[in-house]
Amino acid sequence: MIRTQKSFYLLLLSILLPFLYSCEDDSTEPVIDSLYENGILVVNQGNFGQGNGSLDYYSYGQEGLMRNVYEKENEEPVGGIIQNIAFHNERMYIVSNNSDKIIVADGGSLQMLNTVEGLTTPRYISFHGNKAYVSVWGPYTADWTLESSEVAVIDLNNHSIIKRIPVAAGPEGIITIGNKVFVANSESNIITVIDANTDEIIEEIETEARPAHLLEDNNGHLWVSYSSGFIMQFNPDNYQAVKKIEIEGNAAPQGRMALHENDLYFRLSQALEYPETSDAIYRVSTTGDAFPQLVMEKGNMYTFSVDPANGDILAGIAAGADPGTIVRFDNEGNEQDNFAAGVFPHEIIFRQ
Amino acid sequence: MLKCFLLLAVALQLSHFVIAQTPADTVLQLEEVVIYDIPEQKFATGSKIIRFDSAEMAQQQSRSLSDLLIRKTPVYFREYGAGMLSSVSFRGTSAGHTAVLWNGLNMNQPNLGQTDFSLIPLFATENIAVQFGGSSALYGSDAIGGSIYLSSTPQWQEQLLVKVQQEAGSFGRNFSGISVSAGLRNWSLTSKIYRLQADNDFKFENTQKRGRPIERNRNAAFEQKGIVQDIAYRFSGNSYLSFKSWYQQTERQIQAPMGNSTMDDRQDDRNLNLSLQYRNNGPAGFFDAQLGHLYNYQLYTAGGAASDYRTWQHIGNFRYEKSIGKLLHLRLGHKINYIQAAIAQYPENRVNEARNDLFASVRLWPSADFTASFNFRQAFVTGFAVPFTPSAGLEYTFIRKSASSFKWLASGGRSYRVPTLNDRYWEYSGNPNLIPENSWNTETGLHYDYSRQQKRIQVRLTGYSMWVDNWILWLPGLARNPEGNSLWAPVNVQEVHSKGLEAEGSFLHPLLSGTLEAGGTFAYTRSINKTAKTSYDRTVNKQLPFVPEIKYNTYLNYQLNTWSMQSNWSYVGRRYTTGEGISEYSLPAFYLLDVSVGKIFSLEQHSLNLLLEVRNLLDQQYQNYENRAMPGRNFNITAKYLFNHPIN
Repeated sequence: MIRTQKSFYLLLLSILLPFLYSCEDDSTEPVIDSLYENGILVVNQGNFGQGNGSLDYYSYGQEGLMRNVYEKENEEPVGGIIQNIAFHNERMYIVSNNSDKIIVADGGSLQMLNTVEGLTTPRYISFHGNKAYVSVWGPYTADWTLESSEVAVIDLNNHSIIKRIPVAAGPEGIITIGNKVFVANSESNIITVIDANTDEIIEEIETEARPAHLLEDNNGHLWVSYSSGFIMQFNPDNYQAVKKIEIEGNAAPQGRMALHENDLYFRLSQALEYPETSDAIYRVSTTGDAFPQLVMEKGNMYTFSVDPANGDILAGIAAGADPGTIVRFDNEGNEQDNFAAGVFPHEIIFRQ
Repeated sequence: MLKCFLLLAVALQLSHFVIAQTPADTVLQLEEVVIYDIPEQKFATGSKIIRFDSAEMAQQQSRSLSDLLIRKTPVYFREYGAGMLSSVSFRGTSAGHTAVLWNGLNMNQPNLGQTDFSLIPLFATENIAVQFGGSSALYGSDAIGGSIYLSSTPQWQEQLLVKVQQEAGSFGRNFSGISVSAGLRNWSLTSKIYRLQADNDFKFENTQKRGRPIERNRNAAFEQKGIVQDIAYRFSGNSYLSFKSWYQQTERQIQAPMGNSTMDDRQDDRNLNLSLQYRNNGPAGFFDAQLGHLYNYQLYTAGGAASDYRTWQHIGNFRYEKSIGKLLHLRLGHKINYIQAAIAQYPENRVNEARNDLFASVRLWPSADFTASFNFRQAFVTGFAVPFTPSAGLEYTFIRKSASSFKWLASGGRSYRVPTLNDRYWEYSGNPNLIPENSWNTETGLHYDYSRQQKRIQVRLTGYSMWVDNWILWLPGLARNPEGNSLWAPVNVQEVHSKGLEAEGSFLHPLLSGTLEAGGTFAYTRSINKTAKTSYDRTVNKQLPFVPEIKYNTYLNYQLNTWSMQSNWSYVGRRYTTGEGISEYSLPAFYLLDVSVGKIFSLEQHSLNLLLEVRNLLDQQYQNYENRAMPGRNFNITAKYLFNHPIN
């Protein structure tokens, strides 16, 4: 599955209105004093139908790799499919897609505190102050379309759903920039913008394809990936497109993007001669006009993350219904070492 | 073969027993007796076959085939809850590696390549033969791990038998069935109609929650209704025409996995099997011509969204058999199967495919103690190079005394499985470059039989080794839809080596003016993956998921006059739920104890049979598939009224 891509080009098509934007840093992560403070949390999605999602923890300390830590701490499995985990104010929020709920746990001990139920296919979570915003697909209609997609607003004081905001079909990536919550509706051509103070929709940005995932760079710009094959940068104030990175051929960005300093990392998946595919990670500066550069390639790569400490790239290698592997590469893409993961490693979160 | 009969059942269904007694080797007597039905398995020399006849199944007739086999054979099933999807695993292979034949027609649905065993109630079948190991040379595609042969035979005796059966059990279980079987001059007629329903709202221990709280199973009710109609006409002493039909409608809620409080999925299945068959056993040889039609419809709804499919198979089967001298028996045959599937996710919503099989068999018996068979099959499938599949087997009785005998068996052969229609045609994922799965199987066995007066002992030991390569797995990320989303797709990727030991035994002995029968089966299975799918793969040389290394069952039955007592103890060892083979991802071992007591009341020409069963007496919490609860202790009472069944 590992193969070099020669006929693979990235084109920087247009550069529009590049300007700097300063943002206030409101995401001060509190220091957590516990076993799970200093290491890597691996979120294993689990196989559909088996419900065998799990959390593994690779401690930088003596403990090393500890598998299935959530079940050990809570005496019950985390279940699956786990779509997303995010930390906020010393709490861990586990978005469990197939079990239609969000598990709230202590960020340091991983002890379960609460659950939020009543969400049909929740996907991703973002925060603003004491509220969480969850993208929720909602149930399918008889002809397999999504007509009741929503963003659920959760009061983090009592873990109740305080508002359900109807949005375009298939809300996926969700992030908060300043006082705005941006939602990529992956089954439509719309990015919804919600005012986090009033929880009202203030804008629906029409996009030229279906948006999938969102990221905020160090200058407060919004980056949007489209699984049909390109990445765009937007100004979150006036919603104007700033830059478009078009990808040639049938390669397309898959999964979430990552940021390290002023570099944006994204994963491209390309279908080769059926059923061979290639997965590769590219890097592009969020500020300049340079072309994206290939960092590394790896077959069966299902997710990746960039270590904020040193820029190492950790890739999650999936093995179908079997447990996968986390492989570490240095910032130049040289393979370093690896450790075992669970079924479908889906997110790699650095806790430090 | 393993267990000849339960005495109670013999008493219950004497006439059926006569049919069941037809020995497998009747071909030896072709000259003396007119035989209408030559057992399908007679060319399976050297293979292990476990047979169940209707007498033996009489006690469990309202249960499904998976219920019977998981308790009485080494076969394992992944059951997605009580009465839910039940997929078979023979000798460490997966569900698509078993050919399921209804009166000679492969019932595996062509889109899925497998059969849901919960959709086969024993009430709708007469005789069941379970053959272990690869046998594609005899049965064609899918027969890699094993084959199951369901059949019914015409009833020519001048009589009218009527059976009315009513059952009530725990968790809203309710079964009603009527069966009429009549022989009148040259006509044979069998009609059955049945209905089974259950609420399945049993309590279970939720292993997904801290403290394992007791919860109630939800969204698992089902109703199954069916009708069987067999009619046969005998032209003369040696030929007959038969028409067999079976229609069944099953409406199910899909049992929610543990801890899921919102799932409301439903599945409706409609299945129709038809067979029109002419058999002529004359001096020129044995002719058998059959037309078959199999129809499957399934509608699945989840949270308001629905998807359905329809498949049709039109099958023509022609066989000719001839004995040459006393020592040689030949068979030649041709099968054509025209498959249609109407599935929205296929190109233009429809796929048609023709499959042709040519096959030949030779059976030799140079002496009464030695038999050998050779089988050959070549299939032709649109767009496929299907391997030529030979097989050979021999049986040698090396000690034969007045009461006991020892027989040695050996067999080997090649088998294959054609990729399913879903594997090849599913939108965006279907892989047109797939090739058939390929398997080589060898096995050897030792049979000991002892029989004197009312004492009987049977022991069977079998060891096998099987290689399967080009095993098709669906893996993620190999295909993409037009929106660019990554999809799972099938590839010929895995190589598996399965080896194991199996033992069966039974013992029958008079005791205190009654009869005691004891026995059991044991299976040790090592089914290991030989393929590294990535350079980090940790599954190489590990046991495949959902294959118990150890599985056994023992039974003890006692029959005294009109009373009977049965008990069955079964054990299923730890099963890993991923290929990594670590206990963190596994289902723990479990054992089940079932007991029952029965009484027969004789009423002149008729009889009334009552049976009280307690299943899972020890109230074990167990799972056959991850997070799918199974019922704890449950009760069932059966009343069966048999017209024209005197017991003595």
